[in-house]
This record gives sequence, C-alpha cells and structure tokens, in this order.
Amino acid sequence: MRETLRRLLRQRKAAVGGTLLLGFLLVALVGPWFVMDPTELMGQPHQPPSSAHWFGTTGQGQDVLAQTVVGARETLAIGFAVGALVTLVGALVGITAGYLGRRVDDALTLTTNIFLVIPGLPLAIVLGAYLPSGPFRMVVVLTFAGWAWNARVFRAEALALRGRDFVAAAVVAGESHARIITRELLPNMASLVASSFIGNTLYAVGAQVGLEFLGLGDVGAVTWGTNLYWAGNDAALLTRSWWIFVPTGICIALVGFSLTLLSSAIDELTNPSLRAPPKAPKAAVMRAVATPAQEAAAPGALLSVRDLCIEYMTQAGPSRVVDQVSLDIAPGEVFGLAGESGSGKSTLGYALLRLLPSSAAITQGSIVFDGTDVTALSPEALRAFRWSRVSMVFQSAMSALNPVLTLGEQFHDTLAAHGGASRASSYARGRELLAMVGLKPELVNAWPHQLSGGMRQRVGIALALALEPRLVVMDEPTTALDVVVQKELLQRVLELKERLGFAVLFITHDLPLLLALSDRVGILQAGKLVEVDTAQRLRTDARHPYTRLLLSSFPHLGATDTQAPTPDVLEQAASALKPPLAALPGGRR
Amino acid sequence: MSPPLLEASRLNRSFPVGGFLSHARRKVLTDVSFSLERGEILALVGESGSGKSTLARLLARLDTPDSGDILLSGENVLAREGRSASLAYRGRVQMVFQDPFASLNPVHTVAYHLERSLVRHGRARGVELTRKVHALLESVGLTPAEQLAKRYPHELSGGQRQRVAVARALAVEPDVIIADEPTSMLDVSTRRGVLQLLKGLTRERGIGILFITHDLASARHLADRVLVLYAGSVVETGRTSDVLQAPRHPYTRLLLSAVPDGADFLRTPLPARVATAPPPPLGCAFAPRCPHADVRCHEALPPFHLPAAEHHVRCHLESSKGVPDDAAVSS
Repeated sequence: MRETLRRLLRQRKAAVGGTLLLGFLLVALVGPWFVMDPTELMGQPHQPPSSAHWFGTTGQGQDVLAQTVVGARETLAIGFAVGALVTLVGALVGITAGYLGRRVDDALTLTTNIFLVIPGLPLAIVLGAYLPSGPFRMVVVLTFAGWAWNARVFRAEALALRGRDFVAAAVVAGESHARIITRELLPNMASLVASSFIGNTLYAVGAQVGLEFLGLGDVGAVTWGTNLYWAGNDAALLTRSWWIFVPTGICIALVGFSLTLLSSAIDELTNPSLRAPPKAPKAAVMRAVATPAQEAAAPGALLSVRDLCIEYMTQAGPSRVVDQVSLDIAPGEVFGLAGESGSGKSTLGYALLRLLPSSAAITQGSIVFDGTDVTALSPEALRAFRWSRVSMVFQSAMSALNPVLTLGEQFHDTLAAHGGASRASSYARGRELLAMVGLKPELVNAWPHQLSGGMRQRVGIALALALEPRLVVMDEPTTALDVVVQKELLQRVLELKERLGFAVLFITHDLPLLLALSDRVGILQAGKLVEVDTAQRLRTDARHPYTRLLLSSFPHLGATDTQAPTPDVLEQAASALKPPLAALPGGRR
Repeated sequence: MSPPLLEASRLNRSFPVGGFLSHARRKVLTDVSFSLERGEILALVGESGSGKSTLARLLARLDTPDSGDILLSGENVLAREGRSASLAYRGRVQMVFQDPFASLNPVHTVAYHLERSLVRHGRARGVELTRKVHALLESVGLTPAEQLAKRYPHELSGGQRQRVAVARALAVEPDVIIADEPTSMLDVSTRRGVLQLLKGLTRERGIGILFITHDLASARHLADRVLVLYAGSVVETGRTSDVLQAPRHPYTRLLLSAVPDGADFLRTPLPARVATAPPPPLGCAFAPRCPHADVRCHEALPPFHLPAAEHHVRCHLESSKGVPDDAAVSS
C-alpha cells in the first residue's frame, strides 16, 4: 500500500492533479475566513476588478472573490460526498449481485438497468420537488441518479474475480460470504474503487453545477453553480461583465482537470500496459565486430546464430535474457530447444523473426539465415523475409488466429501479403494446405471458434507452411493439448517435414518429448545454452548437471525406477540462476 | 469393515447449454463412483473435457451434483447438508488448485492465508497462531519460515506458491486432499518436490489424496490406484500396477501410447481411429474412436468386468474374452 502511494506521487500526472486538488481543498477549507461576506452588498454593482474588489463585484454588488472562494466549500463538499456515496452504493449492489449470482443477481441487475434507462436530469428535477431544499437534497438527488452505472462496473469486476481460484480456495477454507466479499474481493478492487471515486466526484461536481445553474438547486446558498445562476440572471453576458462568471468557470474547469488527471494516473498505475513502454536497450558497439562472427558460420548451415545477446529493459535496468547463444540448424533438421520458464527460449525463437517486443533488443551477435543477416534487414526486406523464409507456430492457436475471419480469409491475408494472390487462388491453396495437415478442405469456410484446440493448431501449422518456408519455429505448439492430440499432431509434422524438407526449431519445456522428436537438442538455462548434443547422446550421457536435473525431473512410464529425490542443492542452484523475471511483461511462467 | 474415508456413488452432473430459453443440457459426469481409503493416493486421469475438474469441484463442494451421493466416513453428506457444505466438511476435505498463481489472493501475505484457515477451523489462536504458521511452512519445506510468512504471493516462485497452497490445505488438518493437477503449471525441476511432498502426507498423516492429472507418468509414481475417466464415465479402475502395465480398456491403451517416453514413441502408431460419428447415445462413448469397436459397442453400454482383483474395466471386449467375472474375483 505504501509502495503504491509512493509510486502514485512519483507520477507527474498524479502530482499535478493532486497538488491542484489539494490547493482547492485548502481554499475551500480556510479561504472563507479571509474573504468578505459573499452575500452582503459590499459595493456598486457590475464593477470590474479593482483594488477594493480584486475580482470585481456581481450584478448586485457582492464581492466576486468572496463568492468564488466560499462557493468552493459547498461545491466540493457535495462533490466528494456524492462521489463517495455513489461509489459505495454502486460497489455494494454490484459486488453483491456479481458474487452471489442467480436470483439475487437477476433482481439487482434488473433494478440497476431500470435506473440506467431513466434519464438522470428529469429524475433529479422530479425528486428535487419532493425534498426539502438544501445541500442534503442535492446529495440525495445526485446519488439516486448516479449509482446505477457504477453498480454495473462493479458487477462486471466481481463476476471476473468470482471465477478466480482464490475465491474458490476461500470457499473451501470455509470463509463466509460476507468475509469473502470484504476481505478477498474488495481489496482486489482497490484501484477500481479509487478511480471510480474520483470519476464519480467529477460527475457530481458537473451535475451539481448544471442543476444549480438551471435554478434547480438552493438559490440562496453560495456555490459555484448558484454563482453562475445569478450571473445569468443579472445579465452578466449582456453587460459584458466577464469577471462575474470567468473566475467560477476557471475554478470548475481546473477541478475537473485535476480529477481527470488523478483518475488517469490511477488507471496507468494499475494497468501497466497504459504506461509508456521502457526504451529498448541500445545495441552495443559490438555491431561492427559482428562481421567476423558471420564467417564462423558452419558451412552448409541453414541458420547460424552467433553470440546472440538479447536484453529487456526493465525498471531495474537492462536484463539479459539471452546470453551469448550460438547454434546452427541444418536444412531439414529438427532442432529442439528445451528450458524452463524464464530461460529465454521463446525470446530466442521470436528473435529469429525479429518479432521481439519494443522493450527488448538484440544487443550483440548475429543471426544469419541462408546467407542473409537477419539482424541487418531493412523493414521492407524484413517483411518479405518473415513467413516466406522463416515462419512460426505459436503456443496459443486461438490467439494466433483471428476470431472474426474465416480460415480462408486468413490464408488469403497471408498469401496476398506476399505476392498478391487472388482470393480464389488463396482459397484453393488454403484447401490444399488444410488437407495436407489432415483437416477437411471444406473447413476453409469455417471460423476459428468452430474448431477444437488440436484442429486450430493444425491450422496454425498449415498457415506456417503456406509460403513454403525453409525453417518453421514452433513455440510450445502442443503444450495446451492432450497427449493423444499432441502425438497425432507431431507425427503429422514429422511426415510433412520428410515430404517438404523444411527445418524445425521446436521450443518446449518437455524434454522427453523433445528427445523423441528432435535430431539435436539444446538446453537453455537462464539465457545460456549449456549443452547441445544429438538427442541420442543426451538421452544416455548428458554431461551438464542441469541437463541431468531436467532429465531426472520427468518420471518415466516404463522403467521400474523409484528414483532418489532430486538433490535439493541442485534444485536451488537451478533456481538461483534464473533471471529476475517478475519485472518482464509477458514472461511465461 | 469400516466404511471408506471418502466415497462417491453414482455422481451425475450436467450443465445447461444453449440460450436463455433452451432446456438442453450437456452431460459432464455420468454415474461416477469410486472410493478413497485413508493414506491412499487415487489418481484420476483423463483428457481435457473428460470431467476431471468437475468431479474435483463436486467433491470440494464448490458445486452440487444433479444426483448421486458423497459419503464421508460412511455418512451421506449431501443428504444431510444440501447445497452448502458445513464447516465440519470443509475441515475434513480440502483442495489444492491447479494454478498457484491464481489460488492465492495477491493482496494478502502468506501468513494471512494460513492464519485464516487456522482461525476459521479453531485449530489455533492468539500467540499460538504465529508458531503454528511457521510450523506449517516448515512442514512443506518452506524455510526460513519467519521470512516467508511475511511475503506476498508475487514474491514467491511457482513451486513455493504451490507449497503455500498445500500448507493452507494442511492447516485445517484434513483427512482428504483433492489435488487438481497440482504440478501442471509448475516448472519441471520443481514438480517432483511437490509430488514428493504429497506422497509424504499420506505416509505420515494418513491423509487420503485424490490426485487429478493428465500425466500418466506422474500418476504411476505417486498413486496406489488409478481411475481412468473418458467423456464423463469411468472406463477403467484398479491398482496402478495393473492398470498402467496391463491396461484392458482400449482408451487406457491409447493414453499410454501417447505418453512421450522413449526414443521411438513418435514412430509407433496410435491405437485409435479418427472419430467419424458422434458417440452413440446408448453405447460406449469411446466406440467411434475405438479400433476394436463392433455392433455391441454402438448399441449397449458395457457393464463393468473384473479381469483381476480390484480391476474394473467397462468394455465389451472383456466379456468376449470369456473370462467370467466371478472367476476373476476369486483369482
């Protein structure tokens, strides 16, 4: 909590907004003691600013400065009171509905929706007629008209949180409903509560000023809204007495501005994706030295990676995720890359297509594919290179496929981007590719959501093969699949590889799978390639202790081994080497 | 003979599908029965969509079956308590969730999670509380306990979080722990530690564990008995050594052949057909994919057969082998 506050203060938006709002609060609190009586007729009417009346006088002769300062008090008091009440009522109704569900939800949601369709202004006018005049009436009217929208926001949040495992875990632990709502759900909504409160206050100030300006408030009170009401009544515009309404107007605008800044600061704080991404680390001066490394590429290799370093910029400074990795892949070879989460295996795979996020950069080394230095490609050359020479199959087929396009359209997108194929020819090629991966050609007209996970991944492979690339990077393509589906898919990949002759870089944490699938396997630990060998040799005599640890971590089905527990020292050594991943966006777990 | 620790009898669960006024329901569990003894680990294996997690939620009383009974030490808890579980049930049956990144509340410390369970079930109070929290953390191998208790979930690794989740389940001193794929979200090098921790609990404290997994290899190492679920029904159950070394049901064989193990696992063909028809409404759900299926499989649900003691198989092929049920039992 303290950390959150500190970060909030460090933000410029929050600092400006907060200072401004604090200033107004201070004025509202102590200002009235330092100015004249705002209701007394202190001087001549319609007097421009002078030394006696700094902001001039109103159409009746009251001091405008006094009215502005004193008006701040009630305006802000009502604003914050309504902001708090609307948030409270909305949150209680919304969370109760979202968490309890069923009938309670039906009843509360119906009520909320009825309130939402009643227009706020007429409701406020009708209500105002029945309540005694005064600040209390304004609070009730505005709360009544404003809570429903909040209830919907909180209900949606509660629905999302209710499905989370920690709520189920609290139920299993025997916690009561009330305690789950107040201690498990609400603290997780702290940022929503804060930003709703700020937003509601903004709404309340605006609506209150509007109502009062129309004369629907207590015209005898001194608030910013009534100031404007009297300014209108006294024909301030006609007499060009700008000083009567400009100070109040500026105050309202500034309060609105400060509240908007604060709420946007809270949003940014709690949603890191809204923040400006950290700049990628600069490439080291080593770039010039990269040329001799190219010559070291093994003859006949399709892909040669030399001394590759990739760094992410984090809040704690640059973090090296791939550390001096060198590897070669021969044409038609299956190269397996194994490693645990945070080992940099996916980052390495993405780097081969230069698909790194903006906060990451290749700081050193070279990637030479079939004589082309991938790290030096221009944007246009890169666009032509991707997919036609090296393509990729992603872990989550559902997020890799576009849910609003049929499969045929997605084939067309890919094919048209590389050489302007006609729609008819793209569909024909799509049918052919689908048949190739073992799906019915008619599925070319299907939508992604109509397919099972295994079928989607087959489509992912078909798309990756659309331009007949020479290397396909497969990033955990079967991790989300059942073992039976996984085996079917991999057998199909190997069969296609024999027929079409492409090479595969297969990335996974599943070492037994990799050993069965690959010709050669590289073991990545904390960004370093600790061992590369043929699958056969790794199986029997792995040399690096980390490889042996990984191998022993998978229980075998056939052997009658009841292996000794893994040495804890080794385990700790392994985890100690991991890079600080918590700060990385999108780090896999 | 005393009744089993936890017994499920003919559990059924279906969920509504379709729109607002649709009465269609999709069956997720059909007549699932099993029993769990004290100090035993029963592995529940099956592919995604087989109903494993639904069954776990029913037993953890996060959900209520359409029909069927749950018996805890012989006592029918659903008949007595209805929809919401009593604190006494929660105190005896605990659950460890699949994703330790989601099952701990990010706003609370490790100590808070454990203290709540201890206080709610009256296992400790006052000054004793802190001591008990530290003892729990040490018992799951999280040391130094004083420091770890003060941490928040995001400050822990996946393996450490799952250990906290196990510690929370242990805090109420339960008799049964339902572990829903407790290691599938963990890195391989930390998996074994968590599995060994679970195994130790059955040996030291006599806790019965229902271990839900899709990983047959870890089931083989951990479980005393295995229950294979396909499309919401039990197709084969028995001692781990019987089921995994001499599988009888074609689906169990298919699962076993797909486990990545050995150099030539990708060269052996899968013993299954590509399903061309939906599962028959009356027959065996596996029939469309089964390489041995015949007319019977499409027309009638096979009964359970007992090829060996405690080994149940739901397949017509077993009966055609001519092994009478009673002969198998007596052997």
